[in-house]
Amino acid sequence: MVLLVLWMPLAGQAQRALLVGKQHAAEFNTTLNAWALIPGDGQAPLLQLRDLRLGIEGTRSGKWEYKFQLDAANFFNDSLRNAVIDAHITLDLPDQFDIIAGYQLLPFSRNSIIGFRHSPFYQRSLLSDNTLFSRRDLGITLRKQAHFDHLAGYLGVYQGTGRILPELGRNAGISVAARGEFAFPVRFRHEEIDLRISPMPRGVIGVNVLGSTHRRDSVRFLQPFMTRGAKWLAGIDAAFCYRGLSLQAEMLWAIVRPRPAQQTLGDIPLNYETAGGYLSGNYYFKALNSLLAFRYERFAAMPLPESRQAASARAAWNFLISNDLKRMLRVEYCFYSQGGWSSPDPALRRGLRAGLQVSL
Amino acid sequence: MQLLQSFAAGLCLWFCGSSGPELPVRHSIPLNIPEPSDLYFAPDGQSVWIVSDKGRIYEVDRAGKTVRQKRYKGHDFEAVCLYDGKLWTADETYRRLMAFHPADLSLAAERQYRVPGALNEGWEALCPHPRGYGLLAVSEKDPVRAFTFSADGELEGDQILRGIPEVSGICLWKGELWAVSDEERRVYRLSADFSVLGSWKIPVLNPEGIAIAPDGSLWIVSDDQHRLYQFDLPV
Repeated sequence: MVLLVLWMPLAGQAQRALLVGKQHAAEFNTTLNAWALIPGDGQAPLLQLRDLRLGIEGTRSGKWEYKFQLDAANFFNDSLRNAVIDAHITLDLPDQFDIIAGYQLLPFSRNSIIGFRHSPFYQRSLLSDNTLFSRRDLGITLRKQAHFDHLAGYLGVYQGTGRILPELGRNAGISVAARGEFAFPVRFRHEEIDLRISPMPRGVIGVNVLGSTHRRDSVRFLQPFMTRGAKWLAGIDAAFCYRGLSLQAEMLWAIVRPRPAQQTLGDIPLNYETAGGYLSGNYYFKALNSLLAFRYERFAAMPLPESRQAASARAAWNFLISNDLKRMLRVEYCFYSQGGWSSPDPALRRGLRAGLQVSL
Repeated sequence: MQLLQSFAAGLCLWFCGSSGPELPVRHSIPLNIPEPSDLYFAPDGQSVWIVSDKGRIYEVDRAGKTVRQKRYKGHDFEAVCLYDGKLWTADETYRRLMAFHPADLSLAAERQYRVPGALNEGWEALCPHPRGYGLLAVSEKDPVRAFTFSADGELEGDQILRGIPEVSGICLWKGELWAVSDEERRVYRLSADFSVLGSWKIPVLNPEGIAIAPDGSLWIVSDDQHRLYQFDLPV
């Protein structure tokens, strides 16, 4: 990892774009994200490799785009976990819509859609970290942007390759996802940090639904649990930015209904609903190359008798070495956690983390 | 050590609240053009050529109305200028300079080059070279690099531009260069040897292109706002 960190700034000067003929261009890219848990309060020190991504993406004739990306950290952290995180092509039908086919992100939840390198934290919100729904799957998405990108719509059908835990194997059922966005007074990119110090207030709202009737990845609240059945999720989200201040809010409601109807497994109710969301914000001090961020999230489930709710709060300071998101140092402190955050996942533990993110 | 110095300088700047003077907008014009990237005034000043990310070249009048347009599918035009009687554009993704006949916007010549960096780190800016012949193309950042072309399109060399963290457009006016930075929201005045002579903040979101009209007024095109902004030239 040390060699990789040393190599990355040098590679930034290299020829990463590859021209194949007159109408085909591709590029190689890499991202490293790693952190260490500072020991304290009886905790052992821990070094965590969050991301080690290697990818190639390209475009041909401005009509076809493709992207293939591996995250080697998935393999290092759990050999059963899928290291492939993107393998899709996009066909741009001019003045109509885009077709995205292959293994891809589902168009559900604004936080899930935004690339992780745009995040000021080491961990996504519970809402979009694969706990409540599988973020990636094999399928086809139609995307339409209109009215100078003020409006955007997504509709997709997915085959069920996506899975929350590798142990659960493939899903059996088809999923359908749909999302709509409205941005005002100008288009709003999929970003969480106001790097441009927007001179005008800007906002975006989104609504999305995700449904499946025979999935095997329906989850017990905060703990992935295999149960074949129907799962429906609906969510709304909003984002705002002005003069370096960015705010985000998102809510989600999930309904899990096993089939055939099975009310309990032992004393665990399988028929339940979950609702919750997060509030987050950050402020970019451009003159200081610094970003201060906070996030509070809370979820509750009915009618689970144990761990009925979970909440956490964290704050982070990011130093943007290159005045953008390509090279960042980060210190993050999770100062409050309750309920489900007694998870074995080290990213969810209370404590102080320090690390870096490098993208090329 | 360099990081600490940079942080300390930023801290002083932040506490003092000084980020330089801001140019007031004199006038703005909406455009019916998605993702405009750069602009260049016709010599008579009565119309403006604008290019967009989707490979389109537009000619609009002073009221912002599109007079004509032509599409070159599959191109990512980031910059435009008039040189030697032809309209030159920079295709960022495919690292290409393309020349068009202004009369009918038909293709006159094209040439592909090797430029370091990622796909979106090709040329963002293009203008006639201040030495009097050839073209000058500028890459966006990491670092900002100026590429010099001979009169017949040969790449002669490149050099890093100091003092500007990012460039999204450039133009030549009376032997000096004027550049605009999208991320800094700032206009820079440079000498012919690329020394920064001054800079001014502008209240425009995502300024992608810059031009100076024959009457000496400064114009900026905003990508996100798809709008032209007019300023008084600050000299």
